Amino acid sequence: MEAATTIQTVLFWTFSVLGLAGAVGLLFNRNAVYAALSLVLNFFSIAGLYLSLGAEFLAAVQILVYAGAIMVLFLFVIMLLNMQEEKGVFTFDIRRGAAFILGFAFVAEMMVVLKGFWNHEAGGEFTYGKVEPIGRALLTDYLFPFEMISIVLIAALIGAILVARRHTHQEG
Amino acid sequence: MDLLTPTILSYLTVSLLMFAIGTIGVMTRRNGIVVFMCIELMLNSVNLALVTFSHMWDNPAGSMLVFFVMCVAAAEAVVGLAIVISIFRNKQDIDINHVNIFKW
Amino acid sequence: MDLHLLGSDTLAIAPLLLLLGVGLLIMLLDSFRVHASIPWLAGLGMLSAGAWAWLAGPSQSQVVFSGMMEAGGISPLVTLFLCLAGVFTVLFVPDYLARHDNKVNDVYALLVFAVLGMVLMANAHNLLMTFIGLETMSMCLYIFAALFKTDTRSNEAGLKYFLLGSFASAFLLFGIALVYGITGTLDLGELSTKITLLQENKALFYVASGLMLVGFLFKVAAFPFHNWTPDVYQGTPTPLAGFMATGSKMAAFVSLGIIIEKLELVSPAVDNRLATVLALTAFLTMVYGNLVAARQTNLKRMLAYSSIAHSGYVLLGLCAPVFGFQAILFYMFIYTLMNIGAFGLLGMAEQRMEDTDIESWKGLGKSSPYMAGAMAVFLFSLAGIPPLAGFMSKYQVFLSAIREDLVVLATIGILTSVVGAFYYLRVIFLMFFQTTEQPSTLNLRQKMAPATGIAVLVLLIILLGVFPSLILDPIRAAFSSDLVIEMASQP
Repeated sequence: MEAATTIQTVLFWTFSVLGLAGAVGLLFNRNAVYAALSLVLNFFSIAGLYLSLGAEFLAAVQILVYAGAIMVLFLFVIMLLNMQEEKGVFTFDIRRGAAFILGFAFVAEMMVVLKGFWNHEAGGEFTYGKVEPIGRALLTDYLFPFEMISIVLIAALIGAILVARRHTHQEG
Repeated sequence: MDLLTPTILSYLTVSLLMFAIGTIGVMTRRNGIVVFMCIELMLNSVNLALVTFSHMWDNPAGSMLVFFVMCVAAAEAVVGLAIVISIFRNKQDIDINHVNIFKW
Repeated sequence: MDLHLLGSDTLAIAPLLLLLGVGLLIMLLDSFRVHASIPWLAGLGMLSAGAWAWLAGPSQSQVVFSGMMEAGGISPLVTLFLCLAGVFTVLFVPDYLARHDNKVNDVYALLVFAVLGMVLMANAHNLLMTFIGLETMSMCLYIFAALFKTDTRSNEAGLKYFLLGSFASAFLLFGIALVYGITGTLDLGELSTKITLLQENKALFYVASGLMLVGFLFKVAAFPFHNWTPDVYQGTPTPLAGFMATGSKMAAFVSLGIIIEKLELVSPAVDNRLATVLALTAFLTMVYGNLVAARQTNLKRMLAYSSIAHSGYVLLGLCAPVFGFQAILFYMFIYTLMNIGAFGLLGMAEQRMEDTDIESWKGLGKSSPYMAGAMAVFLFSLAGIPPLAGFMSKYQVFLSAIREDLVVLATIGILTSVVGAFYYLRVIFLMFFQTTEQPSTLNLRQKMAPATGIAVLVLLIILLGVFPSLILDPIRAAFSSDLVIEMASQP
């Protein structure tokens, strides 16, 4: 077996196990801070999985944006609000049971559907994982969405200021 | 050893499992912020699937979509947490059972 | 991408850039405290963007920016409709916000950006753009729902809409990812050339399009995913709720219609279970929306359920692939006019957010006959009573369904709209024929802008009811330049 494949195999198994552990941790941690930290673990692992696929740029962005920026924001708000632990994460009622059954039925169904598809190995080169081809694509073919995504960001900024600012009677 | 070598399908399986865990979390958790984190998990699992497909086809469309999903997720986080803060100011509580999110 | 095409591409989407400029200018003016002109700027900006798109838009269908956006074909008309939805909304917003002591001028910037997002979504030629447009629009609408931050109901509406909306986006995105996995492209034009690839992997294709459908059905509040609607509309500032119920639905339906058409989701040529799913959803949505609306005692909730029922009629139009799309474009335009009118009037009537009880409209025909008359026109039109535009639009949709041999479904649609007429008529009955000792407590202050808006909307509804071809002909012309589709003949 080639060295590249071995590295990919190791990366895949390490990070998929870690990532799923993080996801399960998010699902069962009753303390919001621990749940957020499990999610950080999950995001790091997904960055590792990107790396194993050769998507270096996205792996870096994943860590910078998700683990670095978004989760810090989450943790900040959780600390700010100083919320209580959630009760009853481990108790089962009908709705919870139904949610679990539905969720796993979805996975099972998808696995049946997907069986036989995409069975080839996930090795090989990935041209668009590097920074240069991505930057080229972003500023040529994807120029328009790249400009338009700024509207989403600015709308979110205005909105957050509108909603989160303390209420005063002379607004605007 | 060959059995261990990851296929496209193995990446998809991981992505699907994360998506399902996120969905279950949205339906069972009661803390609004945790529910929102579960939605972020779902978006990430989709991103993983997209990168896998992008790798498989060796074309940029999937990677680009991932990039834009990340931007949107960041924007959503800002808006969502702003809404959570404003609700917390009035109620001191973001238990979504009190907000009746899934009231039929 | 050919960089030398950049100039002509930019020209083709110039109305979009105008909208963007107006939005940014509003933010700038707001920071310089030039408040009074902002609503006017927003309204005029959207009006001129719509008019520009319609008058100067390319007549032949073309794709610009490396296949990201569609220009020409139906897109100028859709842009005009969406901009008009924004214009009519802006007429009602300033008065409403002033009365609720919440003068936030950034709302107009968000409104313009929301219209921009809708235009992006409806004119997208790439699933990437569909997603970006959807998120731009949704981001603004989440804020509208949570706008009254001291009101717990508005907080809850915002949280509920936000969480369920992003939940639905995740499903839509997973569907898009699977379609990409099967075909290796997100470009709608390329996708339609790879139909055979999709048809071969049938089971996978069902799952992918099913997941995408979940995302869209949530946005248009169709039956199993509708239950956020009444609560969110109730917590949202009323004129903006009207905008939410019309503009976002129009964008989502047009986008869904284009995807259905390109991916041949309901094509009669292939055996397709998705057509059945869509038909079943249409049936359940029509029945559920109308039956539950009839039980409401709050006018705003009643209008919310009625908007669910109207989504059902539009879904019925989507089941009829060829003629249905033209019919639903007409339907959504008329629906936009009458629903923004009804929500706007409701907003004019309420002093506090609790004032939307149906009982309080009792005897309004005596105390303010003009406003009650206008409300009656909107409600008659929503019910589909003949001389008004609402009748013509329903007629077109049912006709298109019958042409595609969906007779049973069309019959159910007609029956449910008869049931629906009952609850609209009840309000009209209360306003005009219920005699009470004391006159109605509602105080309809008639400011200039909203009163003009009501008058224009009433005139348009009557005019388009008598001469539907004023809108139908441009729609047909747009479709004929877009696709080779046989015209639905004039009724």
